[in-house]
Amino acid sequence: MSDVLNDLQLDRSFPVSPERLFAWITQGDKLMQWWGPEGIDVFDHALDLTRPGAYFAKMRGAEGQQYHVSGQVTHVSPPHSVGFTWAWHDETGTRGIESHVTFTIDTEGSGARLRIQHRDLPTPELAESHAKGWTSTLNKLASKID
Amino acid sequence: MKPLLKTFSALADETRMVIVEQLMQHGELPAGDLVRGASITAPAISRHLKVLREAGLVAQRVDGTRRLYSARPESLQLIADWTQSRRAFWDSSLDRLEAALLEDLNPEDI
Repeated sequence: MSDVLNDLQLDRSFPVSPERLFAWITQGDKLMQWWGPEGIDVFDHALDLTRPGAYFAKMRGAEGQQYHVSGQVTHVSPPHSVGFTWAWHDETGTRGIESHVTFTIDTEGSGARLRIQHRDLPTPELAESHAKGWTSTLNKLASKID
Repeated sequence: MKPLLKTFSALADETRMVIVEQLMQHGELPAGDLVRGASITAPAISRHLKVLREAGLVAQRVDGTRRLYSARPESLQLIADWTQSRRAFWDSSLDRLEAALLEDLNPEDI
């Protein structure tokens, strides 16, 4: 159980230039073609990661279940990286716990490598404003049941 | 998503956190033994227990006239599922990005 709260990091290499890859991970019309797992339909969105500001995506799964994610684009450094906050909304529209996603592009040979990092937010300020340190709380809980 | 939000919001309260920790440490306890010494009323504890039960964090068992409460650590499995789905979301998105990029490079192959 101790690793359940680990931050996620995924790397993938593509045979395209960093500039081209950057366009694909920030521009709305391109994002729409790959955002979310297969079978999920994005039926409403304001997906534009080319500039700081708000974004959202509402998705529908195969069984009709709906998913709504939203956040703020926090930084854009073409063609190297883009960062944004991330939180799911519940069925009443209430926004849940916020996390942070970073896309980073590095040149790799003749292509480019994309790194996706999806992290929980750093504890001190935000934990207090959210759920009184839910991360450390859950770590404590997890350590108790180990 | 919904059950997970319940788990988080149920735990995001000091009293309920203390209750769950007590139950994890001591196993089964009657409501009267929970949060002992704190200036909290029995009806308030009962309300907290209800929230924890609805979130699946705490189980209730009736023993004669007593109601005994215990922690359900397996509810934390939801958190594991959640990090899992975070991975699944991006991993399968990357698969689709890869496919889209390759199609874009070789439109004549479609």
